Amino acid sequence: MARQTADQHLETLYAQARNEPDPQVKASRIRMAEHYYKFRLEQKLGRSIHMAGISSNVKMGKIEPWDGDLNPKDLLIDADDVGDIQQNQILTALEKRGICQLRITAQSADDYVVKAVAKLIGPLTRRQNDFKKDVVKLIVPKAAGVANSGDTLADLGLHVDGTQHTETPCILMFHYVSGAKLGATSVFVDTARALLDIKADRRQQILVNLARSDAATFSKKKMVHTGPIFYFSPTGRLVCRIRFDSVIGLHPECIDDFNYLLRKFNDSKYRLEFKPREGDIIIFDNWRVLHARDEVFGKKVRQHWRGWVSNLKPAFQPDYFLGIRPIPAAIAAKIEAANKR
Amino acid sequence: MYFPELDPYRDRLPQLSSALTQLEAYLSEVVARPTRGRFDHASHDVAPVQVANRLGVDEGLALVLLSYFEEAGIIDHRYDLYCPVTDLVVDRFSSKSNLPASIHCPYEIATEHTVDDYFVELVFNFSSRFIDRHIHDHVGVR
Repeated sequence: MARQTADQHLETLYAQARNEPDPQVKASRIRMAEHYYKFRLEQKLGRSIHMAGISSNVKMGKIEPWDGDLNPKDLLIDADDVGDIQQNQILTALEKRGICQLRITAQSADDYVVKAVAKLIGPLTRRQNDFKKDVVKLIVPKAAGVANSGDTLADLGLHVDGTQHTETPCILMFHYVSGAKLGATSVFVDTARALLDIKADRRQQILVNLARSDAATFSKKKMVHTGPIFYFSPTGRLVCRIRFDSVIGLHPECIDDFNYLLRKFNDSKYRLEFKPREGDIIIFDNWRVLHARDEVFGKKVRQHWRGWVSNLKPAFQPDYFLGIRPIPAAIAAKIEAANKR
Repeated sequence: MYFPELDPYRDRLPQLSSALTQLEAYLSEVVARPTRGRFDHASHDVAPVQVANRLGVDEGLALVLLSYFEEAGIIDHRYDLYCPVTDLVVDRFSSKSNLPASIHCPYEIATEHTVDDYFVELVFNFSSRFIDRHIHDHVGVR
């Protein structure tokens, strides 16, 4: 007989109890199944606290939520080379603010730079949407580029990358080769900050409602994914999978909460806007930070190498918290339950 | 071996009286298993699925019957936690409330298994009170 988890045992025993004709024995079956196999809720909550860095306060979540008032200079990591010191700086910045700007002195913008920096953090995904040729992709916006993607010159709304994949990449790396003369301003929004500013009851309602397993369907480049907007990653981090464009389709019961977030996240209070310099590498937590880009003007277009990091190296996963936090343990349990609905 | 502690359960649930007697006979066989001179826990382990097979009932009913034996102080239960990758016992717990949120398998490198994916095997064995009272008399000392 195959071994089972406690939940699987419980399901089997419930199924057997349903077939029991004697009501007294049926009641005993259910009572004993739960007595032996129904684990206490605290255990799952404990898991959330342990795995996701979820806590009832910001300090325990090891996070510094920010809004549009953040000085972009605070993101900067100036480095002559890239080694263990920069590795620690990057990971700490990703944990606290979910974003940093690495500037390596006198370093040309070649494709190997993203690969080299990724080696310090975690593995690059082998695929970016339909692009499979390499682990990094040069993004060159064109007038005829695919709408709602980095390939277009048009304004690009707030989104996370990889929404059509089963797992969205944990970290994104953009290495800027050239900048546009006009436009192409980068925009970043800390969802953790914006969510914290929502009244607790309303925030809980939104998180749980948008955690249903059929909350959104993302369709782009012949790829389709249906899933929750808020969910826990396999490593137990709370992930936001959202975008505000025509790629997303919503469950009717999620539209109101989605529209609330649309207004909230696009509020100028939360938009951090700046233009990275040529050679800069922006590294950010794709589970927590949304990004967007203004329209590109002129003949000189902005180009950047893009790398998707699937997750932190296993050795870093217990030590560095990513994703949205803090989330009270009780809400985390409700989100997890909704993810399975 | 007759277990008088079970009489209240036979009276309360006459529809299970026959099954309780069958389990009583099975546990008597388990008690009488040859040992190596002292009480050997491994040879006296009783899993619900074994009971189900022996009695010709499903696992859920076997669990109900075993629970009456446990209430009567004859057996105790414990949980063996198995690594889902190596299929080895990683830890043992006597209480459900002590089960950990996650386990590390010492035979894997840096892998953690949470309550959602580690395997749990419920196992019963004779209670220390029962062993003191009945089994030591059987085993003797060589």
